[in-house]
Amino acid sequence: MAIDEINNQTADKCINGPYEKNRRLKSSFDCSFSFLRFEYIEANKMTKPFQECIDIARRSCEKADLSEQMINIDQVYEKIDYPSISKNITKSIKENIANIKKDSLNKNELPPKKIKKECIQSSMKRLPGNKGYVCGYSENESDQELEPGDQIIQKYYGRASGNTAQCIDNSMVDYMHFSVNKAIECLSSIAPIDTKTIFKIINNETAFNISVSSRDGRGIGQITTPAAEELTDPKKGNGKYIFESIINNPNPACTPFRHIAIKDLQEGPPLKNRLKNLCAWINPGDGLARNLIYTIGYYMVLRDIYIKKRVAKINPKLAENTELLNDLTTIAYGREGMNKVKSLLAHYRVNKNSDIPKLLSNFRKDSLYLKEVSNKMKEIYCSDTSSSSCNDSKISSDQLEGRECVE
Amino acid sequence: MRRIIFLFISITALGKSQLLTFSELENQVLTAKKHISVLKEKNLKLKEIDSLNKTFEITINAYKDKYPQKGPQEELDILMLFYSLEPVFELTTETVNKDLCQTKEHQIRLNDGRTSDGKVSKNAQLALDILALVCI
Repeated sequence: MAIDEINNQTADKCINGPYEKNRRLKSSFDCSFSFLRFEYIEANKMTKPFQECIDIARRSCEKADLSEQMINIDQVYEKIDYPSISKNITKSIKENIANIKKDSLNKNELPPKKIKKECIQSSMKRLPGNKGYVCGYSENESDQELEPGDQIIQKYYGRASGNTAQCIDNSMVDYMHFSVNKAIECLSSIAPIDTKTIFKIINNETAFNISVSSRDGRGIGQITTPAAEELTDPKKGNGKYIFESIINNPNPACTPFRHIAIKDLQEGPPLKNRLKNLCAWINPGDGLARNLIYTIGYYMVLRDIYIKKRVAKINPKLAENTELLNDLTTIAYGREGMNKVKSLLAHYRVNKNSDIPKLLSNFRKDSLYLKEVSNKMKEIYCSDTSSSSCNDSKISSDQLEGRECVE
Repeated sequence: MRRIIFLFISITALGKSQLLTFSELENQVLTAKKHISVLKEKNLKLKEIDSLNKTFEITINAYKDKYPQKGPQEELDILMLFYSLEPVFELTTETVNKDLCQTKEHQIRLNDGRTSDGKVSKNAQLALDILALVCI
């Protein structure tokens, strides 16, 4: 069955199952107050964007005095002045990047491919199963003024499966589609991004569910402490150029991400007190924006700084094969890590004469993570994701490789 | 003739001893860790690490010679252990200080990949333990 046919069966409902009453995650999306959300609202020319939010806030933002909460949110949204927001961002960048070199930007002329909305929708139907958290605003009545990114109070809602799974509806899919493609567009100015690989990684890690967290994995891309440090701490890692490029990048697609890149390069990523800072990674505003630039940025660093260079030393031709590079980067991103990549290259005696299709097939046989990624791709084309038969289902190679999910 | 036979046996025995198994190498790492834990001088600790590195290199090369197309599963396990320890082995060619130790710890964790429970693998834990002994 085609993805759009499957999706049409469940339009305008909780697309991920019978979770109509579990709307805390949905509320956190609607109540989101951030630059990414503003961009989304503006792009969609939403005329009364916040009335719905206030209504939902009444139901589930969990404050004792609900009328007061409504007023707060209403007041905050009324005073949003979109032109001044973008002006303030520009000012903030000028103030903060004086010492950052401007040579890290590479012009990539080819426009990036986008992930199709119907594929994100099919992915979001899946139940990732990890622990789930929603983020709300402070319940302290003295906190009258909200600032973008203030959705920082995390509450555990249970596992993102079974009775506690949160309702995902099409408005959430729409926002995810906008946000992920915006991040891909921004980061593509640094180096080409293989959109289908990003889709496959996120589909495998969390099924685009921003709310899930494991012990050291945070949000949509399950960002770990070493991955975050790789991008922000030049004493330890090599990925600082990604955030510098976001800051220096004139591409308007980078606007919702710039202030996060500046903040995290200056202060370091919010990693201490894991639970206290969890919303900085998983709320639907800055949390999602942060997670996306770390997820895609980490993929780029693994590919361009570690894997491409290593492979090029063995055989420069191999380093030009994007399929091979993306498979190896996917392995490095997952639980097998760079050690598995290095081991596979040595184990299969990769050299100047290596046969690329044979290598690809062997790596796929030997990597558990690539097998997982492949099985999760099958699930998005499977109408009954609770059934283990999805793993046995036959789909075309375009579907399996994610080529059908990009445009 | 006797001499030639003796030489042949020696080379065969040497070749065999170089093709260590994963558990034999893991035991060598555990023994080296024990030795390092009682050594006081940093140089002696690094010597022990260097000798361990050489054992790995000899073993990996021996596998490569014996299996020129593709190594056996045993070799893949050995390679995974070797690459977990690689940042520790690199200490022997650099000046060990606090910054370098932090970088190496980061590399061990980063290269290990991500687990849902946040714990590092057994191999990476071994590497972190040895690193801690050198970086005291």
